[in-house]
Amino acid sequence: MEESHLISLIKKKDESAFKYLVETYSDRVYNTVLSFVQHAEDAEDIAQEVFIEVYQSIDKFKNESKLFTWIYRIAVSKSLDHLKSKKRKKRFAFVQSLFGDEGISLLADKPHFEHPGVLLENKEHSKVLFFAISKLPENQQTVFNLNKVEGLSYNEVSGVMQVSVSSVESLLFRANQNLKKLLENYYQKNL
Amino acid sequence: MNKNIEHNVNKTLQSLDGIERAASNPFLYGKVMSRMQAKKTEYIYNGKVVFRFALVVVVLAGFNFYTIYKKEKSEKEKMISEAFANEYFNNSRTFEY
Repeated sequence: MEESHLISLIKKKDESAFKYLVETYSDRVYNTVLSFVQHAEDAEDIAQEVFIEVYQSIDKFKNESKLFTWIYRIAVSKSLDHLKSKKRKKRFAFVQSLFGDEGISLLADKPHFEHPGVLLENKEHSKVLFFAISKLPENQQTVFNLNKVEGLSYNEVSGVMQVSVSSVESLLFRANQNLKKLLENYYQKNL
Repeated sequence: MNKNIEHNVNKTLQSLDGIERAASNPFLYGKVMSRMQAKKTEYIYNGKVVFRFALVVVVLAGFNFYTIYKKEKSEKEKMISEAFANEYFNNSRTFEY
């Protein structure tokens, strides 16, 4: 279905058009969100919220970018919001634990996430990599996830993040440098 | 850097080679529609609650205004009666013989 036709149908709240959109983009959205939040149930929850946002905000879509770029942008934004909210809860839990609240347990801060799409022989190392990715600054994390996990080109990433291609290259370079440092530290302590 | 650490760092950085996209729940569309419906119902329910609450506030406010109006009216009437009575009795005294 042609994109402009799909958009105009969804604007008219055509359910079959919206169903087509969800089915076309569900894996992309889920995979993108999963790479950020690193938790299958949270990712599914947030993916639903992304599509609801698309449905409710379709009138705001101005055709200045491609539809999938806009959808990815919403997915990234909702993922980052979720991570910020999780960090706030973690900080609160930490403060509570200082006051001896036995019921609150801190989230274990160690590699735990297994991406279902990673090759079997790489599972253990990828757990450590995703752990390191979660420690990157937001922009670097976004560029890395969109390019390396979701497989978007530099051009596509630049469209989603609304930055230049050279900024994408620079962010990816810095992400790789930081990941190397994080991994060196990790393996110095854990080998 | 220790060779072993270097080896592990490189292996880790390459661990996403050949990664495939994770598959979403095949029933995602149904879940999205259910969630939208639930949000709509919650919005309508909240709207009814807000409307009823607003109605109660309006009725109470109306009752208060009516009470204040009645009180002011009766005080005004009392003042007029007292002024009339004062004038009547004062004037009457003037004409006592």
